[in-house]
Amino acid sequence: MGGRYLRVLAYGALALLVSLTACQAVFAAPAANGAPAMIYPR
Amino acid sequence: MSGARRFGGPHSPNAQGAAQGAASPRAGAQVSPARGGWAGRRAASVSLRALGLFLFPTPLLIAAVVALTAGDAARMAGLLGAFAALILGAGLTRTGLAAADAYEARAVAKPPAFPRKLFGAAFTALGVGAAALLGGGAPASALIFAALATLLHVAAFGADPMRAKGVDGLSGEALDAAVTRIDTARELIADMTRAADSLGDRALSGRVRALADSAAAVIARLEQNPGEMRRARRFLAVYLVGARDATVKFAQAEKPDAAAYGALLDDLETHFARHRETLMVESAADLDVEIAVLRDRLKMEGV
Repeated sequence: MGGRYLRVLAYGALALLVSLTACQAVFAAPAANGAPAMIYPR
Repeated sequence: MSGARRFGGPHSPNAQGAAQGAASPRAGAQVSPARGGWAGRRAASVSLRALGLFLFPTPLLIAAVVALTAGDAARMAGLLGAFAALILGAGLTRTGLAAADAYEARAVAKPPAFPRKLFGAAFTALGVGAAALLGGGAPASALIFAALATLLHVAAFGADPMRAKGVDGLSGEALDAAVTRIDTARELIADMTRAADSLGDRALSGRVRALADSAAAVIARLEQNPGEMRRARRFLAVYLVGARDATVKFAQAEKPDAAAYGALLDDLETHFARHRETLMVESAADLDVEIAVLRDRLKMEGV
């Protein structure tokens, strides 16, 4: 019973991890002219 | 006596039995399709969880299109690579789950030759790491995401079966040989039912299915007692190969001789049934005589 709960939980977390990293790749600013994707203030 | 009457008309399969139905309701039930149709067969399992793994990486495709419109070919290639890794991982996981199911279903089994689920976890981790990197994450955080993905994948789907399982005292080559023989026998039965299904004759294919069920029962028994394998080897070699060859030949013949084939099926049915009993009592001599008789019979049919 507990094992099944853990498996379902792990699967949900994996699903979130894969979809969120994939979505992050969509919304990350595409690098323009080879500049880094994130520009930090100096 | 109840007023119940067995359903069926003159054109139903087993019409004879159906006609007698009013007098004796069990008359037509000798090769009942209900028993021969589904008994002993397992439902094909579809893992929705594994199918989900194919859907989750979809945003990467959108990101690849965005990169394409931005004219960033390297980024697009990277995103497509991450997508491909995740899809490959999902595919390996799905086949790995099927292989683990097949392993679970058998009493005697070798582990799958290739640890698909673990490789699926590795490819999923690779895809997640690459996607995190392309999403603007630092290499260190991408590594952490990849490690987390591996951990979650193994927790969610488990590792592949790694050890051969069987009865104590049977190991190494003897176990391999037993597993191979049982797998070959299963394939022969599957060939036979497939050929019978292509006949388009429901009564005949029902009979062949009943025969296949009875052979499957013998094999299930062998799985439980691989020690009987030595005696059953000839059963597997002569009966099953003979039955399979006869059915395939009958299915492929231009002018099939239904009467001869029906008679052969009769013989096989009685031999199969008797063999199940002789396997249980130790009388190898009886078995040898029966097999010799059957072999002559098959030779006569030109199988």
